[in-house]
Amino acid sequence: MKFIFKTVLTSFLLFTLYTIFLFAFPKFQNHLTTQSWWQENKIKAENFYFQKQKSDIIMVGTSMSEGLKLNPDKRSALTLNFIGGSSLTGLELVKRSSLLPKILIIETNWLERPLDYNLIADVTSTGFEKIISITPSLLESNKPANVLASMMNLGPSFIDNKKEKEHFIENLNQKIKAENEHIDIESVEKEVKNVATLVYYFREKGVQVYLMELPMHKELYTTKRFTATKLTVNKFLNEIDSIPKFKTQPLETSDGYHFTTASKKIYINYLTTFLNQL
Amino acid sequence: MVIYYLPFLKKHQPLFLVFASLYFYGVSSPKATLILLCSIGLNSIISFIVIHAPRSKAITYSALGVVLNLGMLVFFKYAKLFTLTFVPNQLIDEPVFQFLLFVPLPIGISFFTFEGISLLVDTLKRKDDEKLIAAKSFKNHLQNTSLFISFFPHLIAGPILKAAHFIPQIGSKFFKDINWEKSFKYLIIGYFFKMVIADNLKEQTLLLVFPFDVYHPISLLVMLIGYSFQIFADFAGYSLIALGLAGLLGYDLIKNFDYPYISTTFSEFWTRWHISLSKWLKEYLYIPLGGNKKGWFRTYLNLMIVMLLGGLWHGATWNFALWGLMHGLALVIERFASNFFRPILSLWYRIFKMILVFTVVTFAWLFFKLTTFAEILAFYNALNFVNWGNYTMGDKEFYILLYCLPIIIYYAFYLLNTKSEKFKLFKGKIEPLLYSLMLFFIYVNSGPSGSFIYFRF
Repeated sequence: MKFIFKTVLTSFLLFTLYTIFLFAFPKFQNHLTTQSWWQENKIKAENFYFQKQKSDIIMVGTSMSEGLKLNPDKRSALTLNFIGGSSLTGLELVKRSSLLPKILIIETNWLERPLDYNLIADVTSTGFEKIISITPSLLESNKPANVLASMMNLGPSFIDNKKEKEHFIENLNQKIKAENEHIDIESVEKEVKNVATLVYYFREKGVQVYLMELPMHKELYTTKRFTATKLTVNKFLNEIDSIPKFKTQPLETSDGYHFTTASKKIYINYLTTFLNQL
Repeated sequence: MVIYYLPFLKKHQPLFLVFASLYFYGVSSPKATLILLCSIGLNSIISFIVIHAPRSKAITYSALGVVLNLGMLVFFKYAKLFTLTFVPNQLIDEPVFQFLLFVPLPIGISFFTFEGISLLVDTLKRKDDEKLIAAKSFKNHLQNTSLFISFFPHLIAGPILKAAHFIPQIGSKFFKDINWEKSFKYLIIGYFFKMVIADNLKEQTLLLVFPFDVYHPISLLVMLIGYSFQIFADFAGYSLIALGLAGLLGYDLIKNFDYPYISTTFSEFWTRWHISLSKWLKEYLYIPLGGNKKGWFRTYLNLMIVMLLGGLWHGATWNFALWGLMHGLALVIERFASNFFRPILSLWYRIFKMILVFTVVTFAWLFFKLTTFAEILAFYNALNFVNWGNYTMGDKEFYILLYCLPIIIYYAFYLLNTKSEKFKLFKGKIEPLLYSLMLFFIYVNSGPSGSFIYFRF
């Protein structure tokens, strides 16, 4: 028992020392070297929820919206997208934060994906907010491994983009195959209904809501998954305005879904122009 | 635990544990609970008959029980594999084959069927020592068997218990008898391995998927080593947590890992990795097949059979069979080579062999991680020496090496501890600090919670 007591006490001491270190050297807090997509999502959620990032425009989505940083005139904007996640998770987080924007843009390409309960529960659990205000050591971005990596000034691991392009068709075919496998229409409807419930909640609160279907590779529009999702979106969210489709020029993706850097810039400009007209 | 140790519940502790175990299992997979209950019922009845039947009949009943256990395992675990492998494509849409393709896999079935077999064989072997396994009344025997099979700390991912080791331990337990320090140490290391090492490494090794040639070969190798450490931390972590929890409830489970990555031979590796499975396979398969008593050809054949089936036990795809065969082949080559070479005792030679065994074992884990043979070949192709230039370490490799470091220290401490008395004293002094550090990292540096790799077996 003496051993256990000594160990637990020392661990609390270490925890306190680490908290003091973070307060003493704030430059090591909230840096950008993330360990994984999962961590990136959590950091994004925590930053939004705990730092009370109130914005006029919030865009919720998946990895397809990654890097779509909007900069409309005289209004602030925030992209709350979750890699491998869903727009629903972003919507739920906005609702729980009570930081309602004036305009809400919802990416609809993967609207059938379920809510990430674990992420929401981790970030919004009762009491956690108070603990975080006392000790930042429990924030995802302040994990000792992240702090150490930021001290090392490491860049991202090398990925051969040329080879990645060579695999484009191979990858695309795999994705099309996966999207044409068994589709559970009931679960698609269930998730889109959940989105619809939140959309109408936001509309009641005076938020302008827009649906946004991001451009993808042309062969991905005809998959069973996308067709089912689109039909369900039309069924449950037909009253909601949509951002007009981008038709000016063909946009390129790196893997069928995600914009190349050049196309991303073009689409950001397009969205910004649209928002400025509102 | 508070309820478990209440004085007036002392007599009912085993029953309490059975209900608690069934409840925990039922919460995670309600439908599979029925299968678990069938397994418990079947093994209780047959083992009770075995103990009370004359020896000649007992053998038949025991064999019948083993066949029923294996039948259940084959149906639930391998129906899909055999259907996909042996049924022609034009017949696959027939209702019966569609049914077989979607037979659900009950969590932990590989573990509890092996324990059922152990119960039946041990009962037969120890027929004369009645008290050891079978209770006098069927009611008590049913209770003991239920606890032996369903005991929650080990139910889903082992260690695989032996009836003769566990059943004699069943009885009233006292709070004052708990070895708190031992259980606490098991739990801290177990949770540290799982939550800090395995869960964080999992996020890094997720990208070990096709296509591989987009990564630098060194990055690929680092990811593979990361996976090797991840699988160790994940499984050894689970086993240590099981040992810690069982200790708190007054039970002693078999140690499942004994620093396997320091093994200098493949046969040593299998006495250090998943010890309970190795022992099970040796006692209930290798020895009944004749072991090494029937000449060199049968010995090699037996090794290959045991490792092939051991591989398939892990998962119902041919990848796992290949993984088993790879280990089987390594054991055969090692045994064959030992006829011609005398063991060299120098330290450098031992280090060389340790690295060799670790390398082969690590490359064999690819069969666990990747799903098709084509992917495995693509991985090897991506390691082509032509691509080895111009490497700079990125964040992914840094994180992998960082999370592997505690495991390396864990092994280094073990080696130094066995070699140096001075270090033993030093370790004793800094032990509370080491455990505090692990506890601290559990608070602040845990990865995303995920299920244990061995849960799917």
